[in-house]
Formats: sequence, structure tokens, C-alpha cells
Amino acid sequence: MALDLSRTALQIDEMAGDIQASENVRSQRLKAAVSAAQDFSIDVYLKKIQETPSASWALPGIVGHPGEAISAPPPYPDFIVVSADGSHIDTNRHLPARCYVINTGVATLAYGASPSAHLYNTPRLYATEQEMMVRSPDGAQEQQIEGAILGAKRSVEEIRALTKEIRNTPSNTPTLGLLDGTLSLIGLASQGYHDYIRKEMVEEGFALALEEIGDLHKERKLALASYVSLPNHAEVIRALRLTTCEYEAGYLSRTCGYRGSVRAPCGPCVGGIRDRDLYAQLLLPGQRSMIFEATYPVIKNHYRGMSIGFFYLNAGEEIARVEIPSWVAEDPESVNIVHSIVLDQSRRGHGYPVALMEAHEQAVISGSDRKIFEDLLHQVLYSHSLPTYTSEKQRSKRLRWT
Amino acid sequence: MSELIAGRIGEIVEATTAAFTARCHELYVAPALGTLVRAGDNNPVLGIVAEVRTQSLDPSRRPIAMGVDEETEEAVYEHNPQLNRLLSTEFQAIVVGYESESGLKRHLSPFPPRIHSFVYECGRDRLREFSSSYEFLPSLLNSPIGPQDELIAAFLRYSSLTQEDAQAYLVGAGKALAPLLIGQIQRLNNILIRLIS
Repeated sequence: MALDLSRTALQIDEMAGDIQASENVRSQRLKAAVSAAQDFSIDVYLKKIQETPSASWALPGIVGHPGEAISAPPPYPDFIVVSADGSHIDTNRHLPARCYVINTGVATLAYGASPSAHLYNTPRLYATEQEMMVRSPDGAQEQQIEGAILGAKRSVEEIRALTKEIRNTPSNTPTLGLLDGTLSLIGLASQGYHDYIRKEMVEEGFALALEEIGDLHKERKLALASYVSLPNHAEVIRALRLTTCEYEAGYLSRTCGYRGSVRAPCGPCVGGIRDRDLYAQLLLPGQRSMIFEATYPVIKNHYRGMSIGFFYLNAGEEIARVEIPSWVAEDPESVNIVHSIVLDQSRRGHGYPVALMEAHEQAVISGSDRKIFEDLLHQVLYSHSLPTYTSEKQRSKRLRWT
Repeated sequence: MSELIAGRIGEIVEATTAAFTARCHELYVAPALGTLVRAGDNNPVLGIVAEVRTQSLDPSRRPIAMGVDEETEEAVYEHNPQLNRLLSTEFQAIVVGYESESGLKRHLSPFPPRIHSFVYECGRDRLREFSSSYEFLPSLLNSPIGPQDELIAAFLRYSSLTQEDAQAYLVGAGKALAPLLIGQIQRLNNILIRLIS
């Protein structure tokens, strides 16, 4: 049966009423957050951090003023932007073979005196025993590559494709490597994953590629960033929440730090809103915030000594979060490349970077592609006289009857 | 680039015995309506271009207006270099004959050209030879593609330029069309008017 939309509509209406009722409180918190950002004192912040063992808050590193708005540098007359994105078909026990597919899409756009575009994708099927597993160095433990691990594997393939393509671009033109989403692979941070998995996927995969691009950066005007559209993060808000909390540090560490994000914060607190709400108030179109440092343990432990910074950018149509590795954050020229080109790309892309959009279009595996892949798998196995099978559940989905 | 590659105007992406569609190798570089083209290397099929279109490569991604802040049309393409990769020009040709070991045939080929066959524009000599007989007219009159009458007029005007006496050739074409359009005086007139305009 289809979704009962008439009943769902009533529930949506009820939800809209609740949101409307909380809008006034949200508006007050937003005003308080703006004031807190403008009155921010780094000394107070550092003191509160010392007093509060608040690791669960994931507080950002701050060197600067969160209320600062930095205007865009002049645009580069000639530049190149290289983007990579990926899509995958996960392992599926309903299929007759154990395998997965990662399709990486790349878009290279050159602007200025010699405009050009290079768009392509590279699909790869992984099916051997070695490709299906991550193994601990002593061989005693192994974990199948699927779900979050496959997501991390895809991120690794994306950044490797980006690295390869950057090497093919002329080194005398300012170049930005741009990825979609976050540079912080926190999906594997959970204790459910062993350290050898993080080591292979993050340390020897994603972070190693980041480092390789960093080495290229030493020889040319090259920067790297990732772009988060409509970010849901609240790290800056958490920092402001810490500095404005009226309770004593002891109380704060005992209670507030353990309050889940779904629970409403107390009276004068600035919590409950997102960083993008704050920067929608603080940044004019084209302006960016200061650079904060992400402090996730996975970065500290597995990013080969690099750190990840981030800033918020008023890209015109939305407040975006832009993440950069430390070798970009520490070089003002590279930060300018990121700021200028990401802004340019968002404007050309009517709100979203063109190169990312095109890389996504190259990478995307549509529903019909997935179906054709499945059929092809059956056909090829059959033509090799190998047994093909499917689950009865899968069959029942295909042959729906009444 | 070799001469052979340089002469290619496109590559077949869809084919039946009656018509084929070719994608141009370069955006907006398509043969004109009414051009005689040749597809394939073995027993090449001859077709007359009946429709040219430029559109998004991905049917689900419709082009949007991008030039509101641009001074020229060229600037739109310069500032959005991906457009040259996302748009494509295609043309459809109706099959009017083929080349065989026994000579030029002015009827449907027994087989359509293969997908990915290269398409070339026919030279002046081939066009003169093909158009020296009006046997192709019924195929054009019944073309399932494009504006038939415009297509006939375009091809006749184009091919008349290869004949020794273009005027006499067009008059001959009018006489050949008359019995094919009995009871369709208005249509005949429309074609004749387009022949001299």
C-alpha cells in the first residue's frame, strides 16, 4: 500500500505548528549568539575549556574572532578548478556475487584566457577476496568492506582521482581541488570500528592523498577544499555556548556536556541553533568567517600530523561550510584561492559550485543503472555457466502480484 | 588530423533502414538541412539531412538562461566552459540510397548503417550523380522526419548548384513532383515557391 498521505499531511501540519511556536525562542537565541560572537573573548574561552573537561562537545580551535567577516579577495583572471565525486553500489546479499562498485566522477574546468572543460568518470568493480576485506596487519582480524567502511573507501577513491587529475593540470595556473562534503572522515570514529580499519582507510588512504596534494602545493599555486552545502554543524555555537553559560564550570561539565542535542538548552543559553544560522546574520554575500580548527579525535590520531580547518562562507544563495587542510589554512595565498574560487564557482553554478555539480553528474549511478548492473551480473554469470540466484525477497519485489 | 578524420561530421548513434541519427563531433558544426551525407564504410548508406538539433546530452538536465550578465553570446560559453561538453548537436537523415559494388542505388539499403559509423558530407561529384535522377523524390515526400516540403526544396536548391543548368534542373524537378502530388495543388505550390526563394 502507498503512504497514506492524508494522515501524513495532518502530522506535517502539526509539526509545522510546533516549529512556528518555537520560532520566537529560536530568534532570541540567534540574537544572543550574534552578540556572543561579537563580544567573544579568547581568554574567557580558553579558561572555560581548561575548567571544563568537555570533550564530548567537540569544541573548535579558535585563533581569531568568530564575529569577524572577511571580504573576498579579487578574482583570479585565470584559474582551474578540479572536482571529484563518487557514487557506489554496495554489496548486496540478494545478488548472486559478492562485489561492490565505486564510480568516481571528475570535472576539470579552466577559466580565463584558455577556457576548457574535461569531464569523465571511472567505474571500478571490486570483487576479489582481497578487495572485499580490510585485514589487520597480523591477519588475525578482518572486516568486510560495506556500509560506512565502503563510504570511507569511496572518499579515498575520490581524493585519489582528484590527486591524479591535479597532476595533469598545468602548474602555472592557480588551481583549486574541490571535494564534496567534509574532509573529516568521522564516519569511522565510532568504537565499533577497529583501529586497523582507520589506519588503512584514513591514515594510509585519505590522509595520505591529502598529504600528497600538500606536497604538490609546495611547488605551485594549488589549494584544496571541500564544500558542505546547507551545513548542519554547530561547533561555533557550542564554543559560544561554553563562553556564555551562566552556570559554574563544575555544573556545566556534569550536566550540560551530557545533554543530548535534541534537548532544549536552558534559559539564556545560545545553544539549539546551527552555525549557518549565526553566519547568515554575520556575513554579507561573498564574505567568509575566520578559520576554525576541527578537533575530532580521528583527525588528531590519523591525519598524519595535519589538521582540518573550516570557515563559513556566504556564497550568495546559502551559507556554506568550507573545509581545508592545515597546509592551506597556514598559507594566506592558498586561503585566498579557496575563498575566491569557491565563491566564483557558487555564483556561476547559481548557488552551488559548478565543478562539484559536474563531478557529481559524472559519478551518479541512477536507479536504472543499478538495475542494469544487476541484470548484467546475472547475464554474465549465466554465460559463464556459473550459478545465479537471488533471494525470494528480491524476487517478490520484482514480481509484485495481488 | 588526417584528411579522413577532418572530413567526418559525426557518428551514428541510432539507425533504422529508413533513417539514422548522428551526433556531430563538434558542437554546432552540423551539415545544413538538405545536405547529402554518407554513412559507413562498407556499402555506405546515403541520407539527406532532415533535421538538425542541439540539446542537452542528458535529457533530464534542461539548459537554463546563463547570459543575463554577459555582453555577448561567446562570453556565455567562455565563462561556462562545461557547456561545450554538456550540449550536443545531432542531425537526423532519411535514407535515400546506398552505394554498392554495382553502383549507386536510389532506394533503401537492405541494412541500416552500424552504430558509431562515421558520417561524411558527400562531395559535389557524388551529389551531382545522385541528384541527376529525381527517383529520390518519393522518399523525401514521405519522410517521417522534419518538414517534408522544406526539406525537398532545400535539397533541390542545394543539388541544383551542382548541375550544369540549375534553372532547367529545378523546372524538371517541378515536373517530376506534379504527378506525385496529384490532388495536393497547394502543397505543390508551396514547394515550387520555396524552390525559387
